[in-house]
Amino acid sequence: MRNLLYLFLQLGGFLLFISLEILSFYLIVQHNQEQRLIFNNSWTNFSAGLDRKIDGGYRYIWLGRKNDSLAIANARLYEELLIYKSRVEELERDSLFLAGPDSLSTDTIYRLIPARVVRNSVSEHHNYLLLDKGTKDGVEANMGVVLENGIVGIVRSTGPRHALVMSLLHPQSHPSASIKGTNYFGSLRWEPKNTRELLLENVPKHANPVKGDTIETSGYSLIFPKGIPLGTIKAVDNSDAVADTYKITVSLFRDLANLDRVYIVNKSTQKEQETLLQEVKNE
Amino acid sequence: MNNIVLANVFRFFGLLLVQGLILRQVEFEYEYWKYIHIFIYPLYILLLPLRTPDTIIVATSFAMGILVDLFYYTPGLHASTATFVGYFRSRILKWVEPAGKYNLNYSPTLERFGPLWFYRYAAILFGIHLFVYFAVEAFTHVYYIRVLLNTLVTFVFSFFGVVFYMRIFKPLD
Repeated sequence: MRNLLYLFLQLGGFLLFISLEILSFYLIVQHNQEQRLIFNNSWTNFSAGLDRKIDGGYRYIWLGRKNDSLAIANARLYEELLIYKSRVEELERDSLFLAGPDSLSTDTIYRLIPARVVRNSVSEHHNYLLLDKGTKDGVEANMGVVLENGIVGIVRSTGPRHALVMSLLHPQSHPSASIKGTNYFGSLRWEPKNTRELLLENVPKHANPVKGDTIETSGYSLIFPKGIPLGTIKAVDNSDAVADTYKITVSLFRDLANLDRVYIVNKSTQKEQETLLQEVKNE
Repeated sequence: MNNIVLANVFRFFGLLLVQGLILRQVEFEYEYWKYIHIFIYPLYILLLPLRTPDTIIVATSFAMGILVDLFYYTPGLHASTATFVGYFRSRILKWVEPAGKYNLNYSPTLERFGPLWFYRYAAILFGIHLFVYFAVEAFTHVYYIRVLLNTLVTFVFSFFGVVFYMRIFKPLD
């Protein structure tokens, strides 16, 4: 009991000391001009520094959301780029004719839906990807999946929230591609050995492909927009003297084994084109 | 016992008045003389009896400080310093404890413990007091040279005051 009292006395002194010091400093800061200025200045500095730190923390926390919004902004920009490209092409094509402003109203419109790759495979013989966007986001079968510098594949089937994509690395996918600057085109085919290389077949010999030329989407496909760069020519195989086409090895710009954000292309004229082709087939 | 309390009450008001009415006039405006101040009121804290409880030391030190502040128009400055020194007095005493234990009935005075011990104790307490005071007055680490200069000059002049006080009044308890 005596010890407890002693302890309390000791502690009482300490508590009194602390509270009187706080009171004194309050008086100093409140009633002394110079000290108040210094205090206010330091306090501002301190709290501004603290604010900056906290802000940095918040930024880090919201990084994911920021990324998503940037991906959407990117998609919008990419969309416009594709539309402008198709417009320029149309203008070039029509420059011989006296085209009124109405002639541009039938432009192909591209809508891009940003998506993330949930699952990816490159080592199988038939490779598929799973994306985190589905019918709820307007994704339908047969839409193309692209990047800024490459194509990924074609949507095969969709669920409400997910889409299954047949990868470019699949024996059944052979999108058409052309050599940049010309309209000579061939179809890309994957040989299941290397995820970074594709074969470009059926390019006529007089197209004169040279090693290092850029390969891009041709626009003859119903699915992919024209002019997306895919890769460069790595080798031209002209060993077969009888054939009148080359076999070209293309090395891709983007490694399909390393994908995160992709764009699903919604092409406004795709349905129309498909029905037209279907009618031809039915005849 | 009552005599001791009474002596300390007298000392409290005596030192306060000397400090507030006389020593406050020692303010020089000249370039190097402006560092000279004379503080003698910490003697009150210094000379409180050894058995004074911590709470009473801290409370009366604060009272002394805030009253000196009244004369100096610096609310809180002397109060915070005096409170600080009052609280740490017991630790300083423990630090300079002589070979034999303290006789708790004594006060830490020149007469009781001898000049060597007393002036060492007084120098430590005054040094801490003045340094803390000028540090709090500057309120920033930027002016540390000014703080050290102030402390040093004021220490020398104040210590003369301490010696005078001890020689003239020869307080026993």
